[in-house]
Amino acid sequence: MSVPMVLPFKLVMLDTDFLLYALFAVLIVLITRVRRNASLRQTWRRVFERPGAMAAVVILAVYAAIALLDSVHFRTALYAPDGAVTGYSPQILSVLDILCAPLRLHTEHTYSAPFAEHALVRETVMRPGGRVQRIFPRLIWGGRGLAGPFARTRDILQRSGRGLVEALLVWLMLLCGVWLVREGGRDPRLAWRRLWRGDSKLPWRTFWLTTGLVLLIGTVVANLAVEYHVLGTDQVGIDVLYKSLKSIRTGVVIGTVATLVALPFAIVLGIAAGYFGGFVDDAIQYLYTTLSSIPGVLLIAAAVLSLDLYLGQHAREFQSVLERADLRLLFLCLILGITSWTTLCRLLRGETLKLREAEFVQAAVALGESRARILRRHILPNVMHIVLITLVLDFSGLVLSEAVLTYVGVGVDPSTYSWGNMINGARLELAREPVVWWNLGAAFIFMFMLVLAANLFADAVRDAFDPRFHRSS
Amino acid sequence: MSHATVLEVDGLQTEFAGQGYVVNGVSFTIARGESLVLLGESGSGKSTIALSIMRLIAEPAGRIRGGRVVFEGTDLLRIEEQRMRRIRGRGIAMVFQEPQSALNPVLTIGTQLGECLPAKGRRTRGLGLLDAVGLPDPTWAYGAYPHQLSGGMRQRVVIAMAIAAEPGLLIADEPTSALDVTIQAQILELIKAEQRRRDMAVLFVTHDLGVAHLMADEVAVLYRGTVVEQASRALLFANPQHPYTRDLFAAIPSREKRGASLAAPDRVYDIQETGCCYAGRCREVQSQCRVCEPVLREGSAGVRVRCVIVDTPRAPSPDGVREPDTGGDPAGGDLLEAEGLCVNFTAADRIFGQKRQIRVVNEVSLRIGRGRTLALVGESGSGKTTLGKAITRLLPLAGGRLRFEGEDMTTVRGEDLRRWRRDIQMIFQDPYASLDPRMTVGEIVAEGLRAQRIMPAASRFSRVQELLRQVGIAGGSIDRYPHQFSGGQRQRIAIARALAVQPKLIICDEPTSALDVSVQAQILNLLRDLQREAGLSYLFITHNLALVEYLAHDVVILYAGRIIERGSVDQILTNPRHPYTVSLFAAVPRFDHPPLVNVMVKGEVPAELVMEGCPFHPRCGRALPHCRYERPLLRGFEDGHEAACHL
Ligand code: SF4
Ligand code: SF4
Repeated sequence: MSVPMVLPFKLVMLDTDFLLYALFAVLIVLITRVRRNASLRQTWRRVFERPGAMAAVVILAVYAAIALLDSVHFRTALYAPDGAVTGYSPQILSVLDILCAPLRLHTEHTYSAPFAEHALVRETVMRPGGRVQRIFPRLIWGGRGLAGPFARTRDILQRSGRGLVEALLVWLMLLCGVWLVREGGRDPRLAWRRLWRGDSKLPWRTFWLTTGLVLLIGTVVANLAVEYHVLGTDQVGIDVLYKSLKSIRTGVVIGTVATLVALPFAIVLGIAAGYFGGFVDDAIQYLYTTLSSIPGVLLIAAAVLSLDLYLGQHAREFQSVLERADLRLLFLCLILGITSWTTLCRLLRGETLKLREAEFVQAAVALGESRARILRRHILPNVMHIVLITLVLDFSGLVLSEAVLTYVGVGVDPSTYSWGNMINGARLELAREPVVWWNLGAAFIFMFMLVLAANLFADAVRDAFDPRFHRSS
Repeated sequence: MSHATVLEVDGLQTEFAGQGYVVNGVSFTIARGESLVLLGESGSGKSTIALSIMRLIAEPAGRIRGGRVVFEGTDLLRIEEQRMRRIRGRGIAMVFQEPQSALNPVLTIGTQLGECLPAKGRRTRGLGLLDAVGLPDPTWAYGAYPHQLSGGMRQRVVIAMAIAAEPGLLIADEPTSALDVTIQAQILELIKAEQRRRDMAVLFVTHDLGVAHLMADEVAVLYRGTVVEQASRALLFANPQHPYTRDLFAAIPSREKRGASLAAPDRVYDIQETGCCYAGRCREVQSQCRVCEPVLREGSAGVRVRCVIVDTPRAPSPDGVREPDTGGDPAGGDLLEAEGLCVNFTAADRIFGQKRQIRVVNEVSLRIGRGRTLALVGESGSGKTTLGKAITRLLPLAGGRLRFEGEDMTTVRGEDLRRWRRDIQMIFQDPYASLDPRMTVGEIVAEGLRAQRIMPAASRFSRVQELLRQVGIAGGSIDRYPHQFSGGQRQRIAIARALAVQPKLIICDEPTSALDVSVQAQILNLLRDLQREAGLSYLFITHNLALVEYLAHDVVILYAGRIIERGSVDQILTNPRHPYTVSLFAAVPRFDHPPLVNVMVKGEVPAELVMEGCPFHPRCGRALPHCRYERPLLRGFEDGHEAACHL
């Protein structure tokens, strides 16, 4: 009798997972196309020639990688005592969850400060002699392996040191690998000196410095996180670092999927309004003027609240909380997209109006080109820079608006890890004595890094693609 | 020189990152009351010299590397910025090409002018200045905003601001290039008058030989950042010495060169590392020229020439071979006939969105013969470009008929229209705007082949190569993008694109107005060759009368959307009938022969269309009483020569 091959897990594809994969695939296709097109490659080079943009891209790549790792979901198998698979766990996990297993599993009872060994809150314990005492109890996980009360500083230093060494090793290995591949291992000293002096067209020195820094933070934190709650724990004892990492995916999904929803509306309607004019233009202008004069928050609140109602009535149809929360996230992206296409649409309409009168378009008309082809070959490629610039500029705005909307209560599901939820919780925490600042602080730092990187990148993209900035070339 | 030297520039060097030395060792002096013209094509560094003197070079991209700029005894390159600021405006004033950008759009003229004047008696002096520069209504203009004034009036205001502080030196950087000829004549006259009155020194920057001739006491000819020849006006124009100057003269189209090709460089070389900067294009280049750089040497009668051969008498520049003028035969029949064409523009009222129709082309009739060139002459606002686009049916017609080879094309649509488009093509004014920046040259040229389904995709490649060769672009350029080409090369690519569909008529909308004279000569030669080989007809839209003289067979003069005169080129040139035509010819600065009559047209094209009477009557010097309300109709004089005037 043959035992059927059973995998120890079963993949689960959430809607937003699918969208993220699709996006990533599109990104790869676009990158390969850009690499083949000489003039586009030239323009992108200008983006990367800026050290700020180079550093930003490294940071963005780290965030994207974490978001992708967090988007591979599965259920683990449940085993019968004889080793046969009897079913799958109802809990959906992601690859990131597995990688951060210690973070995920090391939950305490309640608040604890970063690197604490004791809880933040006094608990009443019954001493053997029947004496009732209020003490700060030891944490279950935080600082568990410490030998004595004064071993903590040393332990932290030791672990940080180990992290430093590991980071350095990985960094050097990467550097050597690239050097071997790109230069065939020639002239090590020259290569090093060039790198050190920043003597290259693209700012490779910045690239390697940022990579080194990211590696360093990664390894040090990884070493520490096994033993401590580096960013403390929250009210129900969940590690804040874990929450912050899980929130990355939410931020990235909102920032990208929402713009993606907005794009088709904006491009089709904007170009149509600009090129065809007349009645089409009037209708589209009417549409977006109306839409943009309704406050976005109102629209979003109405949509999200009615979705809540729907979810409440159809709770049975969802196999897990996560799937339900995911639907809400997707819906939020949709509604954010629908409320945010008007700006881009207006820009595209204006640009198309100008292009329609451009001499190269007139020449194409005079040659007898069909309208469809003029739109596709002449108009669309010449407005793409605006689309791109808006896309990257909007990204950070959307990430921030997630936080605001969630704070107001019309954002993502309360069970979803997101910076907005962390900030929302901080409302009460800041009123405590002693103050619980790490939830807010962690959300702030993680969001700040992402938004800063996105903005730096957006600036570089705008400068490189906006024709006004490089007329002479 | 008897006068005191106002400005002495000595060995000035200015460098731009990525371009090397844009100004490389330029020296000259200007005395009080004198004017020096810096004459050069684009890339000669003429504007950079002007900006260097004012210390307005945008750092860090550009940097003054060496030399002295001594103004009234002070070396401007050695003083601190604060002192320099006081000299700008008060000591040296500057007038730029674009009057629009020199004025702040949100401040009134009076406020801006007042900034240049002492507080006491500001208004009176301001009004006086506006009056002096010839603004028709100074009191109104004083309180007006820049956008309420026309281009010519704005330039007058800029000049008023420049002379307000009584500067010792006025630098004018192509101050009339953006203006129409009739307005240009007025502005140039104004600058000369102010110079005489105030005994100012003037440094005048231009690319136009005619303007140089009008404005100069002394001319310095620039090429690639060095002065190649410097002489008094009379000597330079009578006997140009340097090969570059001579080529420049030979490249100017004129009536005498009709039927012959213009002297034009086959190619423009990149900057020479050693030797003479002109060696790449020079006709008389010698072996030593490529080795050592010639110095600016004193020739006879104060002419200074940077060339190894000075003062050797030479044969005049070789004129091209003169071929018989093929299109001269009017018996070829008409290719295109337009009758009573009207074009409207819809202007939406800003506040209430009410649509108003403005007629920009009014009852225009013209014929273009096979293999002939019809020149359509007019200033900005005359509707000449609109008319060109209407003839190609790029703009909707509001009235009239259009016949092509005898067939009515006024209302063809869809597939028929597409097929007809093959026969009539257009070349646009701005070669930077007429090629899609995101397409390769190959795709651009093949566009017509594809749209008209002329040949299978497989054989297009070789056809594109052939077309590019025909217009003088290397075949290897097929995968490059427009921005990798110069203006002249782009215009060639645009011509190749039009030629691809083998049209019978090409509408050329000022195809050379954005180009240098020598490049213009190349393009004109190309167009001429094409006409001879393929029997093409041209509708040549232009405001440049030298071009008309050189290449037109027939001429139509447009004013405010109406034809006011038409005839063969000889009729129009030798015997212009309409006062506007006469003044147009008189306004063109010329160096070869004096103007026929010296009349200067007053005022500018009125902003509102003249609804009644002769459209020209507000500016006409010879207006009769009934010109005001009775519209003159086109009336015949000699054979085919017509003009719309009561005279
Ligand atoms: S120096 Fe030689 S190359 Fe230069 S202009 Fe004179 S003859 Fe021509
Ligand atoms: S009709 Fe009268 S106003 Fe018009 S051009 Fe002739 S003379 Fe001048």
